[in-house]
Amino acid sequence: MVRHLFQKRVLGRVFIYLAAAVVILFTLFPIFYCISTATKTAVDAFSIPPKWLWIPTMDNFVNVYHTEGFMMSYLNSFVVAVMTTAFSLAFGIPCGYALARGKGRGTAAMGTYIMITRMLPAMGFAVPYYFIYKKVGLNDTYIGLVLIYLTTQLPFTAWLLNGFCRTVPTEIEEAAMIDGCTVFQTLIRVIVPVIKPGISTASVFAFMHSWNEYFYAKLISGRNTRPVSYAVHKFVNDVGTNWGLLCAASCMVAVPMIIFALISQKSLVRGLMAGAVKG
Amino acid sequence: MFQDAIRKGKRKMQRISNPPQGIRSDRWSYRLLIWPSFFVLFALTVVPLFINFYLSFTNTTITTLNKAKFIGLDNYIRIFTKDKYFGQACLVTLKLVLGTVSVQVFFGMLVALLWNMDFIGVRACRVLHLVPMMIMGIVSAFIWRMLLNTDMGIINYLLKNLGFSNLNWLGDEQLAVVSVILVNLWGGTPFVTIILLTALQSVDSSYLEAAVIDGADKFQIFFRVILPIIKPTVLLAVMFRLMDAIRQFDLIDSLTYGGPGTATTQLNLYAYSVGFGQWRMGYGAALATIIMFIILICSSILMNQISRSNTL
Repeated sequence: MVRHLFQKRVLGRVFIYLAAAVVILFTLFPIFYCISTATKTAVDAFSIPPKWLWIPTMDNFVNVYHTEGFMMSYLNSFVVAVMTTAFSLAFGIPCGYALARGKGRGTAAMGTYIMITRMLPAMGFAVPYYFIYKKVGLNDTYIGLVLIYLTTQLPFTAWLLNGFCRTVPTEIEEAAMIDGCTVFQTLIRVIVPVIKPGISTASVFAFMHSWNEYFYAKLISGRNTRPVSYAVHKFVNDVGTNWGLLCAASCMVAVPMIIFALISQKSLVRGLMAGAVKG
Repeated sequence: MFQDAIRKGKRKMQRISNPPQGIRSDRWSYRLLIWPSFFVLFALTVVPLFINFYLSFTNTTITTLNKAKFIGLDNYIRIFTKDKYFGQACLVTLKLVLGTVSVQVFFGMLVALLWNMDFIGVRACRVLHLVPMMIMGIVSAFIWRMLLNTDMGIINYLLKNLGFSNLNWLGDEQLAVVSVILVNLWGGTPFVTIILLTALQSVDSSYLEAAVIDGADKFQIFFRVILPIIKPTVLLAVMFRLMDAIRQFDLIDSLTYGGPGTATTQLNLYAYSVGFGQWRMGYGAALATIIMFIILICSSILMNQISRSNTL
């Protein structure tokens, strides 16, 4: 009897490890394949059967680096992502705080509105923004991109921080006020330090979303402000795609984000939880 | 009970002696702090939405930006009566959304159950599983275009070794839909998994013990005990994935360009191609408005369900 149970458990263990291996393989294989193609020579890349052992070459990366405008778009992405993060925090913190503390119908309506905004498709904003930008001349400018990114990032940040502000006891604020802090000081000196984990989560998300944003980038950006998310398209053309270059470029775009995300993994998961569960 | 009473008492005392009650006591500086951010939020989102709504009643095109005419409901009437592409796009959207969401939630649940078990390396697995979520849609689209390539893709190579013939993954109308769902399965499941995993971890083990004592087998425990408890979270995951599937753009745009033909052109892509491919922006705005209404209706139904299952 005991032996029977033991056998069953061993089988179960094996099955679990097998399943985990399959899931991880499915998850990571495409990424591995991308990196391998990027480091292979053009001949090796699509040889059949596939080469599992190869001498890595950095040629593709060097070529991408020398491709005109690609490094510039790297910088563009960085500038836009940092600006978007900064603005969404600057306006998102007071917004989130007000949502958490305010009472009455106005606040409730605002909360619902922010919830709705988070779900709207980019297409709903695309036409009016394009229309306005065409008239004002904001197409192909950093600030134009940042403003349109804020349409998704600001509601998200406000809503995320709202959840975190709710956990702050009002007694702390009262104490600060009694000690003579002004409203502004209370927010900066008391609330912000307490919700620091929330702020780091929000900035991780704002940065990641703006780095990965594609739809608006395709529409609004021009020669001067192409972010990387669109610049990758440069390596795809009708004549024939240079897969080695494309994969190298993809790696250069995606890998920093993966590393960044793995480092800030904790706040990432926390944000997802707050975002989904507190809904 | 008592603590509540004590807290209430404290509040009353404070009100009597009238000390400051948090930031809100200084009303005007509070407003000065809050209003600019609300104003920015409104200016950035509400105003464009109204402009979008207005534009959907005009015949704006790229050449008539300043002299567009107000044409009333013409755009909407045309969409629902004459536009055969609209019906097609709706059908494609339905196919893609149903396929994507069901597959993601089903496999997300399985993987969440797996990660909820206790084995060596499970923590590393949980983290590694998240990686696709951080990759931008366009990059994952390109990677999969390479994997799914008909002649030199590795997937067809593997299938050939198993004795299948070459499949034209992205060029066949039916298979292109499957391919989009497959890539979505890869990129979107981690999100579902992580949400469901936290829900699973928060299930009180005393319920499970009680069920075991009552003689329930594994399937009964899952369907009769665990699932009802985490139902609100499952519905939330469904809602988020549903919204993302409806408004998906970058992945399909780079994976199949909406093709072959219009086989994977869902509503969002269609609206984009009308608005910024043919530059009929008024018509595109009308399509965008319809998409927004669809999303609002879907989400309010699901929200209703969620709040109902929360109270149960």
